[in-house]
Amino acid sequence: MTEALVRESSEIVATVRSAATGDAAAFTRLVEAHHRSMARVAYVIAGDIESANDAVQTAWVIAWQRLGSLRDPNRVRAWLIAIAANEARKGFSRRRREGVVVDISNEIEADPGADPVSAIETADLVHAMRGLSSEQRSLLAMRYVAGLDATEIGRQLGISASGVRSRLARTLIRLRIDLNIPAENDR
Amino acid sequence: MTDETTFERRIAALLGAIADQMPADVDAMAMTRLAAARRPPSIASLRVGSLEWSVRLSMLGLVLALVGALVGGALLAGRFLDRAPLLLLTQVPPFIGLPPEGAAPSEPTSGELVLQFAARMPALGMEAQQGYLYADGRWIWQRNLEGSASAQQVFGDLEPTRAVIEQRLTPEGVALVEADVLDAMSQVPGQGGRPGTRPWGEIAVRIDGRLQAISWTDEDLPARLADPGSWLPEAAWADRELRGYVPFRYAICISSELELSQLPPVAAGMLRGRVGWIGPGNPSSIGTCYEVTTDVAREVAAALDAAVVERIDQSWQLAYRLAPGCCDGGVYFAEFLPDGELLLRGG
Repeated sequence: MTEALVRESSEIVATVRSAATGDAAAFTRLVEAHHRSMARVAYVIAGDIESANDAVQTAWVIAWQRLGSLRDPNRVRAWLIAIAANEARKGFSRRRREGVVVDISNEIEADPGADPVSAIETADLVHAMRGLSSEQRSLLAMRYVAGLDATEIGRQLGISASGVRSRLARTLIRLRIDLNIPAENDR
Repeated sequence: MTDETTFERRIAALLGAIADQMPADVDAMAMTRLAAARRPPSIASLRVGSLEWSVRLSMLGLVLALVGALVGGALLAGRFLDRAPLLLLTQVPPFIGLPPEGAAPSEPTSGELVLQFAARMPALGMEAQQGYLYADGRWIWQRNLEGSASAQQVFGDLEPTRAVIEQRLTPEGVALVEADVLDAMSQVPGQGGRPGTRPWGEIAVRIDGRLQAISWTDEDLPARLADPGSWLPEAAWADRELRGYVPFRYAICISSELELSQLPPVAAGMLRGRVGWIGPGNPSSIGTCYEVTTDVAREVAAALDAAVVERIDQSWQLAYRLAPGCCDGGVYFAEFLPDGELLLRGG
């Protein structure tokens, strides 16, 4: 680990430990550093901006309460993202049970300058994601939006890294089928 | 996972484009204030580990007496009925742990939380309480959660119990309770301090469609919320009877120091493959929770019993402790509330 990385790690640990003791300024620094990542993940899972905002807001409330239980402060980003993802997942499941169908495509505004092929692909993915469970959406968002690896996702969810990989693989197969994309020549 | 395929890279790029649609500007200081004020530390943080053994035993006796009465009643009913008992119990007596077989879950399965309340006021004989009021009229509460000698003290016109209780208010009753809280509110939500620290209390109420923590100056407010039967008119009640709250689903939570693989194989197998999460409001000693149906919860409990895992003799929830020296961790069964939160208290 380089000196710069060591210094950065020390700063993270100090910030998390201060925030855990109720230091509002330290907590504010965490919000500034991680809110955007949490909101992006929550949006992909929840499917609409309002629900995503609710999820992230609740996640910060939980973080305020539970920060002291975080054993490794260096993992605070993954921990926060997992909480936001879980809140978004719960909201999505609840709304689905209540029959409120979430359609993320309603929220996506067409970009007139975008490549039309790219726009179609986004719409196709949005359509395919409607068929996924909240857990599958959560895994996709944590892996591909937040960039967490299988080990970190597994650590946060209490499952093995291989379990994460197999679930992600199944989810990708499902998407591939729904998107009608052949498997060959894929590397 | 580093060996990504073209397809994965395309999915990642498209998901990134979708995520970019999310406006993520935030007033970080305002968010901090909100986090600190909106949802204060749950009553779950009231630790119960210091409970006196004598109290534990007396409470255990109370629970055993209750279970005995229920079992005895069921046997008597079975003896004198010439047909099988009803399969669906819609009026469930208070219970600790998992509901009796055939108990119908509280309906509807989800609900909008309009008021959350937690308090302890020893001077009034009111030990730790928590209550949740839903827009559909459900008033779900639990009390006597603190491990003190007076934990089983009667408060108001309620009998002592640690079961999770459900009563139902009429729409007028819900409006009355909300109005009472809003009338007693002393400051702009989220702007005030937490005056109820001694005695301790936290109240959050729906304002502008959101649950917001409030401050209050009316010292009697927590007592009124702890015992709404003492002041609400009869017309406010749709069903005043104390019934056991039967959740739609349960969460099985394991201690943070415990790995799923350390559970007995049959029990672990029932939970493996489910997506676990760090539940909100969990006591710090609880790590991962798994959402399960009540039937699966029964099977897991049966598997733990079959493996002779020790039941923790706490009288407010079903809980197990793995052998000391082996794993030194616990397994807790927690109810889901209609708003999707977990009801956890201590660990």
